[in-house]
Amino acid sequence: MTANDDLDQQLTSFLREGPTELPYDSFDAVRYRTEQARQRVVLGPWRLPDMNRFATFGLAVAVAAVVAILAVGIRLAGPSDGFGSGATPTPEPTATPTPSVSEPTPTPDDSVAIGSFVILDPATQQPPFDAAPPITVTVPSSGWAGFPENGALVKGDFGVDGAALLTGDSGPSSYYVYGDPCQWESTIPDAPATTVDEIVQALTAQASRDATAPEDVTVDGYPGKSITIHVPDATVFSDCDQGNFATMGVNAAEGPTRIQQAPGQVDEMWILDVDGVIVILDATYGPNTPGALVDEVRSIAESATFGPH
Amino acid sequence: MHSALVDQAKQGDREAFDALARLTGDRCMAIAFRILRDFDLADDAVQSALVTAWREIRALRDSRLFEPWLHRILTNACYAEARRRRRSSDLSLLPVEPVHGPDEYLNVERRDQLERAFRRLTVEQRAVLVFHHYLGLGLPEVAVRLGIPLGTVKSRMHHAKRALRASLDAEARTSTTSQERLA
Repeated sequence: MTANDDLDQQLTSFLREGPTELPYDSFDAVRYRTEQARQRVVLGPWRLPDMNRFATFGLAVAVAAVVAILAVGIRLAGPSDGFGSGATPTPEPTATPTPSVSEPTPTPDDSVAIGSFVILDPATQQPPFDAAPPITVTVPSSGWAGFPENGALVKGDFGVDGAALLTGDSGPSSYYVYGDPCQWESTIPDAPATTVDEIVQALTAQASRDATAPEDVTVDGYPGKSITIHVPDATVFSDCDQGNFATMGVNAAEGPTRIQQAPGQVDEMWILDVDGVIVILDATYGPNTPGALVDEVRSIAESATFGPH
Repeated sequence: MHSALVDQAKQGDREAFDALARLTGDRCMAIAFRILRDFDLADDAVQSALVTAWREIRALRDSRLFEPWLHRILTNACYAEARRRRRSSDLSLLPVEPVHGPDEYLNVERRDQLERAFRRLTVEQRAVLVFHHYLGLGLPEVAVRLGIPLGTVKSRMHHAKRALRASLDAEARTSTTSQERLA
């Protein structure tokens, strides 16, 4: 027997020892705590779809869901309910979706109709964010695909030459902005950011992001700050912790919720205080995204309205 | 096996999730204790992981993967508990848990040496060892389960074992020296 085998066997024996049952009271405690906790409808809305996996496992299903949801959303968005303009959706031709592993550009019937819609949870038909108000946005052109379980609108490959609007994990009371997005595991802050100013300050200080100076903004009359951050062109994601270049999480224990897609990616963020609730709109695009598409995703973000509360 | 319960829980069915928790909680406790080496911390980590799982379960696309997904959440909860504990006190000062009987490969002294050596590892290294040696997962599966690259798993495994050997060797030298002085 080699020394290595011996250590392996000792480890196996050592780890076999110890408790194997959760105390009965702990199950009751979990039960009590889940009764107080609302399910998050869109996981982290910020954990963007892994397009390769998504295309493999469920693009068609997700697309069908979003079309249905948006239809409901548009109905809700009539002029009388204050959710937006309620523009008549443009019927799209139907065709079998053709998921593509490397090219997530939506096919015609993946597209979100031009007009305004409120983002709804596919399961409950309620706004998907824990504490945030319903968010309504206006889509100005065809070609956008909706991913309600991720709270995202996507056009093209948003890490490279497309764009996405992440309505985000709006609503949590705390945001853990990592000190270094590549070495995020070891730079989780001891205390989360809980206000617009704290979040902006943490993003400004984040290593390697080349953040712009924050600017005061208002969206739908609500005050906040805008800031633009970048993923350095030379970043090698596989060298980062767990292979992820991660901006932030909403819980220190759960890992990142906003994971970047590619070197050169840009995130223009509007961080707003909507009646005491943090709402984050993230217009993100790649290094090769045409200027017109950048303008478009900005316009969608700036079209956001919130409510009713 | 749990897919139907997972699907029900995704629809907000708390009874289904309670049943899931009872089906998976013991195994979670076993994993968490072995990573953290502390019963109360492990208990807290499991509770936290289960509550997180309830909140996030709708993000789980493939219901068949509930348990691996839960284990990843649990591991992150263990990391958080370890960090929390490290901030408030020194984890290495915790008492060694009692021995649970003789073993083919471990006598009492060796077991205590392993306990001390194991506690000196990082919590990330311990997690890799627990998933490999306790759950019996191959390294690629450990990588998937922990959500880290295979290379990182191998690296952590290598460094963990090297550190364990170094600690055990140091303990052996100390023990020999003490016995020589007593002789």
